[in-house]
Amino acid sequence: MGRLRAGDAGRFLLLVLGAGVIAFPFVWMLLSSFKSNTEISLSPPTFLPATWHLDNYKTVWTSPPSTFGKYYLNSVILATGGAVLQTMAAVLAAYGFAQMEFPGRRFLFIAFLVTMMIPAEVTLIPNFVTIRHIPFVGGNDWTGSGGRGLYDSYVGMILPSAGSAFAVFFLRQAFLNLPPDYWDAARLDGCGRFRYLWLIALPLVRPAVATMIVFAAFQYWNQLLWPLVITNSESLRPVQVAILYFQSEVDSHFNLVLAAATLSMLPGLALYFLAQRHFNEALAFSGIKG
Amino acid sequence: MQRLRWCVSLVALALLACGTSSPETSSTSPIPAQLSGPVTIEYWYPYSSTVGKAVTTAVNNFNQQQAGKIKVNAVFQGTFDQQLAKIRAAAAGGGLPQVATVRESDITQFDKSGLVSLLDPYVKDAKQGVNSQQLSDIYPGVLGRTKLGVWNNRTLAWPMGNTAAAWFYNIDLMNKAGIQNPPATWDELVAAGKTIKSTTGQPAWNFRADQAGPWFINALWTYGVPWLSADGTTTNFDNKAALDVLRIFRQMVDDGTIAVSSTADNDFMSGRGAMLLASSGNIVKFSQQITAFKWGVTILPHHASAKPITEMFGSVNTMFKGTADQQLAAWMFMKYMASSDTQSQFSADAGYFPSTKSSDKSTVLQNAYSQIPQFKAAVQSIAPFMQLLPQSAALDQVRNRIATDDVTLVLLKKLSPEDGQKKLKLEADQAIKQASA
Repeated sequence: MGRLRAGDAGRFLLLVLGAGVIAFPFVWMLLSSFKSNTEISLSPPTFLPATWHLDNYKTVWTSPPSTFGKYYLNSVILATGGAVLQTMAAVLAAYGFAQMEFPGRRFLFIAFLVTMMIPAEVTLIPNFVTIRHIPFVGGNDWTGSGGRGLYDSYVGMILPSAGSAFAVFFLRQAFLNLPPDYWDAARLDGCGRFRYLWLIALPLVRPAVATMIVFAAFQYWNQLLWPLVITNSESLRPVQVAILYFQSEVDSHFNLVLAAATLSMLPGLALYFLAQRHFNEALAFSGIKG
Repeated sequence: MQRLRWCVSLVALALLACGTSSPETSSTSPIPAQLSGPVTIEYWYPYSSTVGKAVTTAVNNFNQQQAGKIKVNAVFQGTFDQQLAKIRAAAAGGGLPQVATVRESDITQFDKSGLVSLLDPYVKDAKQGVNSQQLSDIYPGVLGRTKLGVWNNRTLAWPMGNTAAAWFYNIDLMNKAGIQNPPATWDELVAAGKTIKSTTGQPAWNFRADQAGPWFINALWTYGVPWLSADGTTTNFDNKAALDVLRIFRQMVDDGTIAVSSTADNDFMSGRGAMLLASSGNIVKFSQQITAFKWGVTILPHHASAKPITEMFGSVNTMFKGTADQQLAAWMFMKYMASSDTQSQFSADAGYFPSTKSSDKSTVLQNAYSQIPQFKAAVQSIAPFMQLLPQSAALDQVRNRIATDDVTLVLLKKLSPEDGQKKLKLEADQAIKQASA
């Protein structure tokens, strides 16, 4: 018993140490966000702020051209819209790959997975050209010329990442765990594919779907280059662009950058804690380890 | 019905795949005597923070002056690299701006794709051009960056913002060592380094490890030896001066008078070193953050027999092809941004060196000088000597990768100065050959 307790204590200590190592950068970010820009550059550094500069947050909120709140709202719109669209597309594709038999299924799935190896930078220009030349939108004619297409719009920011190979792979793993008997039984009762997916399959893979929504929301929330490239209006740009306003090659206000980063992290943290139960279940379910 | 839908989708996809935007004009438009009506142009810039605010102030002033005639929509596009990615995308998909603030190396790429407009006709235009007095008011180095050899001496850029390599020094620490003035030559630096080290225990030079290549190339230039040969086909790294520079660096490492680190700027700001080679763009930041000691800034040391010289950084404005009206409006905006009054205000707001000599006497810059005396010293001691490094497609690779790696090996005592020089020459020449192939 005593040996067990000692083992537990050791494991607990190890976990606390691990948690400390992971939490330290965030604690450092939070504390530094209250420092002055001079104090943040001190060498050796200080841990606690000499003076707590709460006004850093006020400066961050009011400084960027559209005020930080507007960028924040844009990020919420992107993350919500993007997560919903990406998850919907992924659910349909993943269900098809996992539960339906059709010619070329394996080849198509591998082709999907291969796209995960293509860096986002490579697809930047093709995506830009596609978004600007979508027919009948943004002043474009049927050939996709004459206007701006979906350039400088929320949809333009969301669309290219709506098809995610990782999301399809992740959800396919979840759907593969559903016994085929469920579908056979549902079919005997006259259930169609969409009805089965909506009423039976989806509730059974809910943890995986919830996790995918969190992943997708994070992905959209953290995007910088694509929103910067596909927009011109400050009123549309997300929070990651707003953070850029506080840094430059020779004139960075790192205290403000960290205050902005702290603010930008809050919704992600809240979302994670809300979905934490599903998140853990899904990771165990799919066999994917973080 | 389903087949028809498929066919329509496939045709639409094929059209999208084939559809690339054609350039708005195939050649530079003729210069009209005046604008035919109100014109709105787009201007992209890669500056945020204090410099970004200085840009928007200048643009707002221009828009007020030109109300009803020209409106400039200024759009922040992230860093230089992020903006470059966007310009490349816009070149393929449409939506290029009329004016952008970019690096010279970016313009070289745009020129190859036929995107930018030739500015010589605008500069020489009787009505809209720049007269000889205005031209001579621009610092020679700044004017030089508008018309480069790699552009076949055509004017493809116009002045915007300038910074340069600057030598910062801790006056208190140097005085403590009995040194009154910053070293003017490399020999003086080596001697001063020993004195500073022995009397204060601090290193003389806080040397940023990731800048080893740029600072080596700058030091070589102060011997009167540019990094690239006159015909641009080979480097001058086999010159005796290159070996001298490497030996000086190594000697200072052996003496313990150079501290190589990635935090050199912070070490200097914290008083843990006497001197720092860094961009003059740091002046405003240092004036705000260094409170514990007196500091100064001047031009970097040079060889006793050579003239002072320093590398110019910053950016230029370039014009993308458009309609005649758009291009004229774009030129008027670029001319405004490079004018003495705008440059004075921009320099005062951003802490950049003005492009024009007359700005030095402007009230607005005099006021800035009174607030930051080091700024005045920098403009007067550095700006007249700043030059753009000889340009080559391989410059970035040679300076920031090859030279930085090889000079670092010498600094870390992994290579002798002689072996470092040979390795550097070999690799840099190969990079130039590959870039020109």
